[in-house]
Amino acid sequence: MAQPMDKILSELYRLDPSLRAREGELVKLLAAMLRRSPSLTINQAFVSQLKRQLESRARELPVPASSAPAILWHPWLTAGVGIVVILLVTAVPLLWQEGSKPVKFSSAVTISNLEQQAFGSLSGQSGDAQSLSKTMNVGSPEMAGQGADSATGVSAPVMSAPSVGFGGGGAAAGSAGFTDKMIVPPGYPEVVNYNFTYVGDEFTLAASPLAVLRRVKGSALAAQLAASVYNLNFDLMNFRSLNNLEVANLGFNEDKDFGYSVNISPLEGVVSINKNWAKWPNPWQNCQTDDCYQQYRFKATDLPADDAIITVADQFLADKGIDRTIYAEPTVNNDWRVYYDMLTAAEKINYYFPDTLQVLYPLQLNDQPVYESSQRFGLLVTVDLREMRVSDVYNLQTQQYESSDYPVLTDTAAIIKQAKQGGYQSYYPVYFKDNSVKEVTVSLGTPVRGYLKIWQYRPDKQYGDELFVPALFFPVLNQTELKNFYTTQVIVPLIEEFSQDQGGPIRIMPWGEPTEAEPAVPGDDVPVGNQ
Amino acid sequence: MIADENTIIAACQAGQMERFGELYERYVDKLYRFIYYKTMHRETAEDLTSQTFMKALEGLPRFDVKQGNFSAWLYRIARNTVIDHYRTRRPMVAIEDVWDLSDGADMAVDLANRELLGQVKVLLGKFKPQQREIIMLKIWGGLDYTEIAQITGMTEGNVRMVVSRVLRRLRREKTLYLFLLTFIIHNFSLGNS
Repeated sequence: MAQPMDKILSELYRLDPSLRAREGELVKLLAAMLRRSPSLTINQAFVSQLKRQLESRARELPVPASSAPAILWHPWLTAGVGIVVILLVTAVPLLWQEGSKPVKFSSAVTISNLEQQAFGSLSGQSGDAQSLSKTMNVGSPEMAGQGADSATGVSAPVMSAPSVGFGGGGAAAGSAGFTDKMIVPPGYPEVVNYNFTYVGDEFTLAASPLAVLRRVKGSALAAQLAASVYNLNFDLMNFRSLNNLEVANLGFNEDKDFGYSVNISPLEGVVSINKNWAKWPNPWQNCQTDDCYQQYRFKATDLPADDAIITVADQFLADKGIDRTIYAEPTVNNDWRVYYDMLTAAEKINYYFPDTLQVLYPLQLNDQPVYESSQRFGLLVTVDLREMRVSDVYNLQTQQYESSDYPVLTDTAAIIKQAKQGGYQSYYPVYFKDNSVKEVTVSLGTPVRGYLKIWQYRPDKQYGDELFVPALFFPVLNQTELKNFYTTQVIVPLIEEFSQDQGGPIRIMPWGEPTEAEPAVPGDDVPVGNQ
Repeated sequence: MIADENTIIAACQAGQMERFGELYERYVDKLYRFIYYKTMHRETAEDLTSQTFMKALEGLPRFDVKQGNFSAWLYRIARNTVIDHYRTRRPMVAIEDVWDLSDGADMAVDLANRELLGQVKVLLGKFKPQQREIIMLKIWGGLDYTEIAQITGMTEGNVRMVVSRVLRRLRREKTLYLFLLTFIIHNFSLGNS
């Protein structure tokens, strides 16, 4: 703390030179006080939020009349009217330098409140919701006649065919003759209709808007690091010829046994840690024969207990100063067991047991779980089971968020209907009921609240937005009993915008004449043809 | 720096209000700290900082650089916003900032600062609001005498005299410890922590 001490002393002496005579006493007092002093750093999320509010307000302010370009004055006087028409060019492009000093590179969770619907449409430009639902509903009214293209420019997976001769139909005829909401059946050996049924408790939802969170990206670190670039002396080029630099990515290696390679993305606010391959042992590197490879093959008895794996991960995070307090209790990802249990005895003998496993530290926001698709999202720590060391860390991110309220769904019947259709991004199609189709019931339990992490493309930024949308997660109660069914949660976003234009799941047209009427949309009590 | 600021102000007044962001980024840190040390409560300081910049944004078209510099004008807005904040809540009492409060317990103060508040209050409580204002602007805000004169509406000579009298009184009353405390806070307000 020498520097603050010197600065304080010189200021004191400037105001009162006689204090020099008491320097010994001053130094003691200052040292004691410096140890107890408060520190004040401004909340960078607040700085960003206020900047946005000022931006918004600046757009609303009227442009001063004196700023109107003179060439656009059109005085128009007539004897009886006396009207002067002034044409003003009021298009003032707002060129705020976004990201100039927004986010502290920290894992401390902060959430700043913005005005309602501050993020605009959540699904309009998304790489997830709307474009996907449009893609998967080829026969929906707005798709009829448009062929393979949707408004988003994404091609439909298959072409639909006219319903002539199939007796069904129900969609309005399109100008190009595509009249059915069905696609050509794929060539699977076994087709299954998954009938989602809700067996959980009744629940209600409050009508008040819910907050969507957006992770704040960008970092002052990018600009700070760039200052160092100017000090580099490369003969290859003159870096000082570049302006407004920001470091987009930074990587470095530990040059030691079991060292790590670290990559930092200041603009994304993400750090990845991977093993430095050159410094970790590779037992197979000299193998020339299958016997050699086989001797290093991991066996079931080599697998350590989950507790031991978690201990390794915990210790690594503690050693590296990575905060674990923002995450829930860690678990080992043992999904491999799901597939292993489905194997026959002969298949199990030849099974390749994993020699790395991931420990998930689930992220909690506002005390709610966070999911990405149907999986819990959080910090992922890969443990090398041979060495019992951490080899990789993913999703180590800054944790500053903005929050904005959006209107919500409150009709629980409509929500359950969506769940029965498979929910958000459901890929389970509906087949005509005939002898070749197997009917399987998927039981959904009482939903829990949480956040669904989605990515939203932003053409005006060089990175996409990470949004955390409030949603209900319906657990699949009988997942372990179902063959080839890996979904553990059915997700229904609670934000009203996501419920629009869902259209229901894909329906598959039959190979031949249907033996039954066209399948009703799951979740409805009334067949489609009768609506 | 002032010439550069005047260019930005002129651009804003000519319709390029988006350039207000440059002024914002220059002053948000300092202004926040100034307000914080008048309120000793983060949320209040954030709220009042927001109000100050909003008022500055809306008032900028009418700001005349010939009447004084932007920094002083901005601090004046901040000062008045803080005064309004306290007077709104205690209209019958002449409270201009948290240091006027008898014990600080009846208005929001960050818990971590209560002890500090108590200590420095002994020092600052001895002075009139105007003297206290000048101490804080000079020592905590790091402003020069010209800027302080513009903010307070006094002449520069009067401001210098006030500072000199305050220092003499501190030395006479042997409150060296507490006097030093103000410098600690000043330096931490400059981000030396």
